[in-house]
Amino acid sequence: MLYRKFCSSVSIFILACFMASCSVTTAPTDASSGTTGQTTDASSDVTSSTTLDDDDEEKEIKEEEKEVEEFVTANFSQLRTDMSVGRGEYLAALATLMSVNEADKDQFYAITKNNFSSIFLSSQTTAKELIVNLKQEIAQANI
Amino acid sequence: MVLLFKPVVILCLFVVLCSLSTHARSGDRISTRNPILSQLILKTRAEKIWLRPTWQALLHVPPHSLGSQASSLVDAPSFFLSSQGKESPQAELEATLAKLFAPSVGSKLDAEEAVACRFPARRAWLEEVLEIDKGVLPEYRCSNLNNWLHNFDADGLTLIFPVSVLNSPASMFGHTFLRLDRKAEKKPDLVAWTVNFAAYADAGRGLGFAINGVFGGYPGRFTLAPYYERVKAYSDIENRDIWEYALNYSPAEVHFMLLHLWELLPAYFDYFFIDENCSYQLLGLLEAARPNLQLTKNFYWDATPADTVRAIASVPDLVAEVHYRPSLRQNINTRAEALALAEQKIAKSLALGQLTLQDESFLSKAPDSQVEIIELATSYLAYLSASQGKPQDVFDIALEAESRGKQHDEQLSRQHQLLTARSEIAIALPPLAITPPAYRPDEGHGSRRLALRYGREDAENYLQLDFRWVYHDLYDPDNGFVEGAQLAFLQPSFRYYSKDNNWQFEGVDFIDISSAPVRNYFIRPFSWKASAALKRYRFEDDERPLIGDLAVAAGLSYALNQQVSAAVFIDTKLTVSDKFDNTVGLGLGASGEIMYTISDTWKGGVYSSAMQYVEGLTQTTYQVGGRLRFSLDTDNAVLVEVSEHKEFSDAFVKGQLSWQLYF
Repeated sequence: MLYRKFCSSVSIFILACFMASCSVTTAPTDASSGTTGQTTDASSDVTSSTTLDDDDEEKEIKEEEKEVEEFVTANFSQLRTDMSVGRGEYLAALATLMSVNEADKDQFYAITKNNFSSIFLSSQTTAKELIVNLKQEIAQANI
Repeated sequence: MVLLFKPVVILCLFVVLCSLSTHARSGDRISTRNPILSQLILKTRAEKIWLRPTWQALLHVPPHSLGSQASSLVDAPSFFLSSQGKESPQAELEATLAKLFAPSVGSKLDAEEAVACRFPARRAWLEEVLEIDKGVLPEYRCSNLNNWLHNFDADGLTLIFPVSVLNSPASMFGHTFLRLDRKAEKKPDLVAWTVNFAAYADAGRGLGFAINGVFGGYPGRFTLAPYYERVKAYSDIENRDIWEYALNYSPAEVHFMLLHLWELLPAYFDYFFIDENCSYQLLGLLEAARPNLQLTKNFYWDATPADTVRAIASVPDLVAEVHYRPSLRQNINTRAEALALAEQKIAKSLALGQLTLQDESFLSKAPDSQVEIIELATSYLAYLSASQGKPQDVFDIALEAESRGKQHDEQLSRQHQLLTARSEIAIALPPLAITPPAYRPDEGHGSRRLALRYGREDAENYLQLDFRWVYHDLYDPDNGFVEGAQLAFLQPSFRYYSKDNNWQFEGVDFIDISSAPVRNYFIRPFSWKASAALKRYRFEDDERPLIGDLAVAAGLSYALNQQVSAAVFIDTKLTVSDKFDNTVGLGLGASGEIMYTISDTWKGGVYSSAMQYVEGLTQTTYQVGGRLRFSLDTDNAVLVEVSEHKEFSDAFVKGQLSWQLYF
């Protein structure tokens, strides 16, 4: 009787633990998307973002802007760290997303480091402000 | 014994009933007025096309349905065009062909519901295998599908494996998902899309979630997310190292896999976690594009993510390249190791706001050191803010929301000051070089273990046979596993005593978890242990009854140097048996262990523990001993143990020599 109770309660516990293996892994992603505001239910999100029908230039630019904004919002702190050093995986990814020419990339990295304090005016600078400030610096540098 | 298996039997019955209750309706009538269609159907019947591995993979029919009718793992009725599709690949093939030939509804060329747009992989494969000429089948534009594909532009595949962390039960076994690379465009990995299979639950966890999950109560679905989201979740927040296995898939194979993924997105699978988990479904997806891989055939009813990675790595030429992406925690540890303790202290004080950049102790450092100190401080601050609000350890005390908000603002402004200071120093240090572990996860031992032990206990010789379902304990070969993490499930053991010429049930470890990550100056995790078992304890008169045993411990672990680690624990134990007053015994105690990783193949350790029973019976017990393990190869190890025990009778000595086989 005693063993029976012991065994069945332990069995239930084990089953609960085995849930483990991967099902609950949605959790960390949910947690992170809370802060970045972009969970992705592929079928809707990915499809809605582009339409080939209007493949004109304006559309492409809008598309790029949206992509940059999402990336900067989600990776704000990593980008800030990379910019302070003038190097890093996140910074390189941003350069690619912003279509910076291969030849201009080093200059782009240098701008983010040298003008760090005008890109990040305070600790409260937002992702949108970052993009505006960064674009200003790039325009001034003519790349 | 019988009682133990009862829940398992009930579970099995339940599963069988679930799978039987699938819809079986009357057969479909396939219109064969179209002469080309009738011809094609005759051809498929003559060649039994539906038995081809690709078709079976596209329908997710498991390859190991022995003799019995093979039934698809997909549970959404909309995935099947024939009402018998789930059970009959042939009916589904014929229905698909018939619907592909059906004239489009109305004159709309863009009918998204058309079978050609809804099941593009099936169409592409049938066209190829039945040699259907272009133009024979009605053409559709399928703009939703094409936009979707255009968004990926994928031409490469990478299998991603974030290693396990024990502090969250959700990630004990690690996880696997796929990344869709854009090699031709040289797009950064971070912005690539990932394909993930997970339970689709709206909200709530806890027991209800667990039970629904076990019995397939939540549907499993494929979902997509940018890789940077995943890196943030695993690497920065959960501090899990990530392994990236680039696979040798051609752009055409990747394209076909995506066509098939499109078919699967609206579909769902009953998420029965043991056999149809994330790893298994990913293998199914990989097989659709390359059916001759036959990856799923080796997994009968369980697949841990590490098993999947091992299966993939064992296929010759499938893995092109393996890349290691260290977690934020590794990053901090590597930076700290490069600095003297005095400099580490400055970095930590800067991060915590106990010191400013104007302080003499910082300014007196050489410029190179200043850069290293600031970079360490900013990484540490990033670690602190990433782990906030999400307790990293079971013992973390949740802060009040208000004080956390204030703390967060202070951290933000310190981080801003530090980074601004960093940007003003022109020095560029060489990039941080974090050495990957010497062994990849696929180079580790198999999950299951069979052990044969010969021992002598209190002047009696015995032979012991035990089996462990999963996964790894602290004295198993460590190569490819996370250090200081033990996870063992379901380990029954049997003993043969030559004296009685008889096999005896020795006990069963239901679960035995030990998480002992080492602490250092920056990262200070707690260690803990939890176990549940039925085991034999020695009482007076050589009596050894089976006793229910639940133990929980909390402690601290330190690395004394690269090879030696030490851990101390406070232990509590609850024992259940009629040997105790009121059938329950309660013990409190302490234990310690020192482990020495001598080389890749040798590992040794000494341990001791003492426990005072305060409830049920008054008794002091202790245990002191040592172990030495030698790995013969990846999947074979020899273990020697010598120990002295004092249980509920006189003290006795035990010696044991074991051979452990992993598979």
